[in-house]
Amino acid sequence: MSKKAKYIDAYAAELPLDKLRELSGEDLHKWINDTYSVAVEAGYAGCAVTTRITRYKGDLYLLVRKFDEAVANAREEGALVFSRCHIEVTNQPELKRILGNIRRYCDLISVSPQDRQLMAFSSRDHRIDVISLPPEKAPPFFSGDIVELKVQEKLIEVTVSSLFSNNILNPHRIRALRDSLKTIKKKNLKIIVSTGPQQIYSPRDPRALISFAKIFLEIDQAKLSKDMSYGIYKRISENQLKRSGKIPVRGVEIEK
Amino acid sequence: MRSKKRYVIVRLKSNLLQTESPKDILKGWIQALYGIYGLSRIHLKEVYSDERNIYIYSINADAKDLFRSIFILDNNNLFRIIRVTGTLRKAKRIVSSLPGLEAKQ
Repeated sequence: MSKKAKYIDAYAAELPLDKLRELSGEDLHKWINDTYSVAVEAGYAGCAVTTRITRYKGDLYLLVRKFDEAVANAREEGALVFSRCHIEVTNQPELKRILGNIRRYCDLISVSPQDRQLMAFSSRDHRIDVISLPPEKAPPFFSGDIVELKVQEKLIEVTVSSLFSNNILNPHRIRALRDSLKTIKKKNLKIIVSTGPQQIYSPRDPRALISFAKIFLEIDQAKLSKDMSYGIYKRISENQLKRSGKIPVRGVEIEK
Repeated sequence: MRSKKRYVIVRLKSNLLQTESPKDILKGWIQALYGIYGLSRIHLKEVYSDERNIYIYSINADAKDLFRSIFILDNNNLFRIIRVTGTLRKAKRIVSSLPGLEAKQ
């Protein structure tokens, strides 16, 4: 009997840091539960709620911890939600400082590299789980990046919101993404399609995304389906084990 | 040779459509993404609808992915695909098992 794939929206509704600071614990909990309900209504089994980080601040980890605790509370109540931090910075030292500050406080970390230097770093750093391709200006992947991405089983992400401009599908962006993904597909790396940042969270049916990616981005349907369910879940589970101390170093897992 | 069909059970969020029929919206999306070619490949037909805003559409089996992909244009989450079946009888059986029918009757 075949198992039904449980899709996870890896980039569900986004909460900017400033707004996260203002929200009370109760409001945050409500926001997470509302987002989860919308994702389930659209056909997902779960979702990763996201906060976007654009610059380093000393108290960053406090905010991210607050966010993660709210997500963990929702998870305890039965909602399949995870915390994700999406980092969008323009220089490598700042990215390193942010990663060091927040890594242990969230389930997934993604980066949207704007230039070659950031792309090379993001492909190699073990703390980064997802590389989110920016629309139009994705820097190229070099062979060294590909090797690291493959070894570390990182996920390459395409967001639905990046395909649209002014609520209309943008053919130039689709072409640019298809070109960026050419090498990735050839090397059999993990690709996921998720909702991405939107003013109002409106996820599409995951199977619609898979069919769309098959036709427009020429991604293998079965592999994409697997990566969007088991692929993400595996990465999140690994991170949770690392955070709980069950994987103290890479390659070592403590069984009890 | 007669082409194979698939039956798509779709639930529409109620009270959101005032002027256009759901079929027209779906046709508009097909045309926006794939043009006349898409319309001819998918060959969308409404075969069932009820007061619970549940519809069954028949499509060509080999154009299932084309049809599914048009829902990327569904910005407001108007439609929810419940199931795709190979026979109309099975589609109707699933529709009759969905909650809400007794309440409406």
